[in-house]
Amino acid sequence: MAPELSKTQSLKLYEPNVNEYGQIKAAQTPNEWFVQRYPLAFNNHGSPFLDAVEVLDKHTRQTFPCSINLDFFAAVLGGRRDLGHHVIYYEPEMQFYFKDADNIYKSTTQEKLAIQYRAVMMKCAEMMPQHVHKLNLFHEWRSEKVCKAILQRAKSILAADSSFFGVSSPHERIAGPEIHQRIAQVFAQQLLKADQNSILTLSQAYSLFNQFAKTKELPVLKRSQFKSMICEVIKEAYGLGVRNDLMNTETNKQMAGWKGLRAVELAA
Amino acid sequence: MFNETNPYLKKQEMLRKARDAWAYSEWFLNFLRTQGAEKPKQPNDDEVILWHQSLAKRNH
Repeated sequence: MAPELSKTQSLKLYEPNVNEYGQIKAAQTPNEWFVQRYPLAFNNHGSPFLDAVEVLDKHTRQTFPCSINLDFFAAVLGGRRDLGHHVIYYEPEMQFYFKDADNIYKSTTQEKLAIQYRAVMMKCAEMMPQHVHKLNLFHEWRSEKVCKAILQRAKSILAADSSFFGVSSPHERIAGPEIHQRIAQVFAQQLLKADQNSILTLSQAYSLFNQFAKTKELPVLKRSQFKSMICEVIKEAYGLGVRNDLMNTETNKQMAGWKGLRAVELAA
Repeated sequence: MFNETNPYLKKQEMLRKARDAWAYSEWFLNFLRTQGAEKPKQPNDDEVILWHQSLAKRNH
């Protein structure tokens, strides 16, 4: 025989608290506080807490948040979309990135995210009225154990694959390798031109690219890195593969480069 | 109702909301930034209202 449950009605998930005009009232419980700030996390993962609610009298209800929804808080680490925040876990580098106020993604650490989560939980605890029990908000759910569990879930909830910072992606990050690749595409389009009778050597292209990158305030690339990147870009833009048998008539040595391509002279 | 008809009070209300949002946003982002990282300069009244309006537009 199934055990008889008593007082199940005292365990509550989030319910919107509206006034007689249908407007949402100022948050009186941790559930309301978080859902008002993170509605998307609520839509996707449900109520932040399970509350034990005790009705003391006609006007007073005591709330004791007794269980936490880790998935909701992993989504909270993703930031508030209404404020333009965005945090991702970039799987190819196993690294968290956040979108800063300048709209550029910058790397951050798991420890910093844990501190942020604890601060948000503390802010909620501080803003709660007397009738909310704050022990779990302050102590239990700010423990290392809970932070680790939330961060672990955040890795999959906030996961982004390599296309997030891909060459054609609108997302920019600070000093990522794809910045050079984007510049290389612009370089190939603007500074190179198809010409059947011309030869562009790898050395010429490398030197020209570094000059171009300098104008964009980018650091100089190693020649080996440049070679693998530009070969791909030129192949895609002009359908030309790199050749290692181009003869330099002055030195009589074989050189690497592209036949059918030339550098465009830029107007000063 | 009074705020909606008085342009000065309306702007003050918009400014208060925008400043609150900016302060919360910066509070949030500062946890993720490293020491010494360049922080955005404090926007003036018009800039912060514009920033808040652009967020609202994007969210709709």
